Amino acid sequence: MAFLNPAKKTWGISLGPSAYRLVGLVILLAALAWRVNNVLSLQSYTAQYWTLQLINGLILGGLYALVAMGYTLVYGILLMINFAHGEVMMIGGFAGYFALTGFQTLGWTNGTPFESGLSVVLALLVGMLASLIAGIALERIAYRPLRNAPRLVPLISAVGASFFLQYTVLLIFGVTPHYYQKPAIISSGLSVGDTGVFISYTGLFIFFSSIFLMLMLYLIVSRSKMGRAMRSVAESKEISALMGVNVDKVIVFTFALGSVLAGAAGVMLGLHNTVMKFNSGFFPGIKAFTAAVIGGIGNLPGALLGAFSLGILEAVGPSALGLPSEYKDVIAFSVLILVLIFRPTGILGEVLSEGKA
Amino acid sequence: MSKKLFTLFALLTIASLALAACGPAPTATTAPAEGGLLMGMDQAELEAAGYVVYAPSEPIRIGISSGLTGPIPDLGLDTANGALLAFDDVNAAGGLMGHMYESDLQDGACDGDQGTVVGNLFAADPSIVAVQGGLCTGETIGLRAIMEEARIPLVSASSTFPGVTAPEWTVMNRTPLPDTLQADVDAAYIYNDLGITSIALIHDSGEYGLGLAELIQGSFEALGGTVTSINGHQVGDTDFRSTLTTIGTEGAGLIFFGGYATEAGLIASQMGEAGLTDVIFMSGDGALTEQYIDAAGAAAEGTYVSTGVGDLNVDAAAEFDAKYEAKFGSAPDGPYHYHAYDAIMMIAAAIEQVAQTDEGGEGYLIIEREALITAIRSTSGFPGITGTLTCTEIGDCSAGGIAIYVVQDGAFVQVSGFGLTD
Amino acid sequence: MRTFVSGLRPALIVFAIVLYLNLIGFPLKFGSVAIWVFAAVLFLFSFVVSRRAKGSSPILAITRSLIIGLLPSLGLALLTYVFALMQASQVTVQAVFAQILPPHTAALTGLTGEQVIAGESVLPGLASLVLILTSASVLGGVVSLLPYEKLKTIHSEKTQSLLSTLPLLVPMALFTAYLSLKLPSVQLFGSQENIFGLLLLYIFFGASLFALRAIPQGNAKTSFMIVAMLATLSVPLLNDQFQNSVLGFVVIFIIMGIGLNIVVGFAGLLDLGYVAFFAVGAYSYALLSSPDSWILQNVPGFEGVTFWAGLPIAIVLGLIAGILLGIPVLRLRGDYLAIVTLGFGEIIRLILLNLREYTGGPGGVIGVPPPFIFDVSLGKPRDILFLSLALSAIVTFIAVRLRDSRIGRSWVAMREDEHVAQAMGINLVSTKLLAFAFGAVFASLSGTLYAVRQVNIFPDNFALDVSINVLALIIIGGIGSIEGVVIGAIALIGLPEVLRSVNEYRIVTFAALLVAMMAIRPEGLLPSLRRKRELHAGEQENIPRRKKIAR
Repeated sequence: MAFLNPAKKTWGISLGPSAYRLVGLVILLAALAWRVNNVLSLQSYTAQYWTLQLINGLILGGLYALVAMGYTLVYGILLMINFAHGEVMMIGGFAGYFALTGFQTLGWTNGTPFESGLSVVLALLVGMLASLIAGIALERIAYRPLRNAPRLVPLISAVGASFFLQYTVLLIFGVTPHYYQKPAIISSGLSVGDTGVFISYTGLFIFFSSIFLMLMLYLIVSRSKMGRAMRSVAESKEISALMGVNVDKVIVFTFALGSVLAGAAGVMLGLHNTVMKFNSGFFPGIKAFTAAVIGGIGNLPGALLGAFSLGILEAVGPSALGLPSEYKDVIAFSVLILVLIFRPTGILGEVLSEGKA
Repeated sequence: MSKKLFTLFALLTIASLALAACGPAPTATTAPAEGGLLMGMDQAELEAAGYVVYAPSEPIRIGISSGLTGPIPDLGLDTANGALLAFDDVNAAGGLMGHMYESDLQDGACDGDQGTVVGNLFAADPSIVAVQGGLCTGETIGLRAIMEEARIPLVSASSTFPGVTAPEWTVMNRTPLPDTLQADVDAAYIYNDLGITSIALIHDSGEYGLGLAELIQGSFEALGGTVTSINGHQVGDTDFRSTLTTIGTEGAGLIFFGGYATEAGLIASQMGEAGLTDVIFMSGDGALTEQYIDAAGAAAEGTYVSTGVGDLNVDAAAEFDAKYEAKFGSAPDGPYHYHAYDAIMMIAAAIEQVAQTDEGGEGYLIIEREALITAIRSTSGFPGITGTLTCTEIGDCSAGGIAIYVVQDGAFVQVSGFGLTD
Repeated sequence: MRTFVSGLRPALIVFAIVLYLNLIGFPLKFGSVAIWVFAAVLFLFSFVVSRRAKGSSPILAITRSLIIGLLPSLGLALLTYVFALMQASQVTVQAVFAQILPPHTAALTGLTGEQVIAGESVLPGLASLVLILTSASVLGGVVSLLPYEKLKTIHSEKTQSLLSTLPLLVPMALFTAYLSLKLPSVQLFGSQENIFGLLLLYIFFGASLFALRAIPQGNAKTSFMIVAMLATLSVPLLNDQFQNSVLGFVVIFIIMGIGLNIVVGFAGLLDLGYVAFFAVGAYSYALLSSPDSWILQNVPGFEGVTFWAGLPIAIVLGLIAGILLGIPVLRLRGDYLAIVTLGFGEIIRLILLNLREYTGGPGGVIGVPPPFIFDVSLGKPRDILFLSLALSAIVTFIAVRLRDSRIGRSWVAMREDEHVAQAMGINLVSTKLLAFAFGAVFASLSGTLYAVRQVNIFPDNFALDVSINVLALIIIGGIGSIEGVVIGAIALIGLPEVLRSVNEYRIVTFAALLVAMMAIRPEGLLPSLRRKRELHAGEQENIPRRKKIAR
């Protein structure tokens, strides 16, 4: 994991002196500030409004963060984009749906607070387990045979796996979307005093569990023996193997970690937005990957930072710039491009070393 | 390398090439020995002159294009199933002069790309006499151009976008009501009956969704109301809270969504979280499925959905529902299955009008394409499930009017519009 | 015991496969034929497993194949039994497994759907199911014991020389078969005839390209090339409308593939937003020519451009777009470049979708006029196929010349190592921009053809999946190889149209093939010779290297 290793200096090609880029940045920021100022002088948004949008953004960011961490973990170790990661999340979401439906027939979801809470936790665990199985199978079938192939080959395999998983789910579980019924305990929300600020419990749940899981992940990677092995494999597979690290095991472990997080994200997405269908993983997957890149791919705190900035930008951006909501994706991708123009390896990204370029 | 063998094969290939190049010239193939089938022409001559010819006991083939994949496969399947059911019924009634009807269901994927491919597939098949389809507007528009050229009549059961039918498209017909009427009725209901003067619009950036939203805007502003904003999302979006929060600052009394059931349901269910508890939600025909109620959950109560209903023949519809469930294992769920059924029935009725037998009496069935196009367009008083269908001169064959439903205790209850007896 | 264990793993795998096919609804779709499909899977699997475990005794092999057959079929039978019980007691299984309807259960047990619902016993049907599947697997084990090794030794000189002519004979036989389908007296496959003909054509094109690789330089090769070329040129005349329309689509993707091949294959710049340039080409011609477009309706006196004027304009706009999008990403590499270009592609689509006033929004641009030559419209699928073939020939020529030129070698140098390339005096900025520019021009060209073919274009046609398709096709064909692009386009764009009759399974089949293909042949079907050497460097270099040391 790059964030624990000092950045290495290498050359890069530059487009003219960096002073030009700096001037460009200043002009751009000035133009943005002017536009935002213009919009805000016309529209009278209250502080409550901004708080609400910020909360929307943080919740969205929490979801992105859970998925982005999976991308970043796999990328850090294998240097490959696991395009099917969004589908792993979707499978977790489906498993969680079936678990919750089962608990519903038992009467748990709307039973006592304990039963209701238990059903949420169990659904989360079922989703994580399903994603774990899917992620490990994916690694075993689609990626392991390609360990030494050129970079593009696993990418295409991942694209194939992504479509395969989507349409398998479509065929087995049908074309109709599956709608989550929120268990009673998390179906309402929290009103903050009389400010009119309202936070749904599912949103709170997503935000705090993403922070919690992120911390756990950080501890695993930085403190555990397996984490040390992961960092060493990220540096060099060959040398790690020579030092007695079981590289295959480390890679499977990495996939397992990423998939478990994705499974949790899938169930939370289902609980929060109440729908799961065969392609529910694809676009959030792309967005989460974008977030991971904005933060600096291969870097765990970067993934978190990228995810929260992307979430907030999507929520706040359109109204701050005075655009209708259909421009939120344009804003997200423009920010991605701008960040990479000025910091080609993301906000917290390492400077690419020779082997990883 | 045996050169002789190679030369031999090369010659063979060239020879057969030459043969095939001259080959497809109209040579009699299965025509009877003397006299010809009709007006002294044999099968190939008839086909070249714009007739469809079916050999004895050969089935009459009707193509179906529906979006079985793509953004709304559930609606596509439901619509296609409605059409397929019609084939069972016409065949159970004995087909036509010893010929059964056969469907050729193809996936138009709800986009113009696949619509074009499917169109060419149907146009290349001389045994396709008519086509039902185009689930989505893009798909229908893709099909339409090719069908027009190939002179194959086309009846859509779900393209409600106003521009789909137009005077220059002689083969294009449809059984549902166009969105213009829906927009007018909805806008009047919001303005006059609900007494709301300012609304916000959301659409799914699709032709249908955006089209409906823009039509509503036009009708509503013409009545004197104001539209506070139009916001777009995409089919498949699941988080609308940010947009709803923005709408919350605009003071609109109602949110109208142009799009399909899933997104409509999610918007309705997320409005509470964004603090829009006293804002009414309304949507159009794309959302009129059980799925909408599933998706919205408790928030569906008190929301409005409008649709173009025919003058529904209740008995026929109940019979249809029973057959549908027996054949496909689930109850029909979607706004267009009746329209698809009627489209096939209407085509079959027109075929029956114009079909001829061969002069030799050998059991050939001959259909003149132009006559069939005219026959479908001049359908009048056809008794369908969606009412008594009569086609206008541009091919709008719908009956009935717009009905507005409110969700009460998890079911759609009609509150206004066509067919309400009170 | 050891037999049991050695059969357990394959038994589990084959059970997973059969279970998968069962759950995605084979029995529902194909009726009792599905049983024979399952039997074929078991037969093949037990055959392969037996062949792989060489040197085991016949009894061991047969016992193993018995286990491979028995366990999965018992599993399947048990599952079907449970489903049948549930269906008989009116439990809707399809609430979870959408395909498990009564007719599905019925197909596996030899009953009818009504009988299943009425609760008739499924046990006799299941017993015969288990029997059929197990015997298929045992049969596979038995067949695997036949002495295949002896077959290999039969090759005499005569058969050897016959075998060497195969690369020539196969394509010709295929083309003859395709031609015979067109003869009026041949009536095979009914309405599927054109689809089957298309399949034959695909294999013909593929086999011809392989033949060109396999045949040594000489008269035979030259004459083969001429015959194959003539055959190809005759295809649009012989085809029907559907076949031409599909092939036209394939050729449009070939042009795009050749363009992306320059960017990714030659210069090594991973571009996931290639569709942006395709969209630029399509929309610039459409907006300048369609009577429906904003420009024609708002610029007084402007009647729209013809195709022949629109094509160069689209190309120039594509070039400008390529350079404009290229400049900001010059400093990016590898996957960063990939995600940024992906973002560009999406931005272009979203802008086309959202700038409704000018681009028509989701309603697209309707009625793009076809090209005309002296008032003769070239709008038919056949004319467009000819036009695309001609343009693809020009594009291929340019690409080959570029590859072998100085700039082509700089691209390869840059792909291999930017720093060394820079040190050798290659100007990275202009080299990269040239790669982007050529890629963009080719994509823009194919976009224009696409607009003409489609007549109506919509923003949804320019989504991410186009970029992914084009990238996948050059990788399947063999990255950096121009013949590979042709094979890849046929496999990726053409083949799905042939698989129409199995609509539902189209995408899963295709996706599974993609994954399997990457595992089995990562260099692609027709790799560039240089690339092939790189990928198999480890395997082939062993021997010469040792020789060197010995010397």
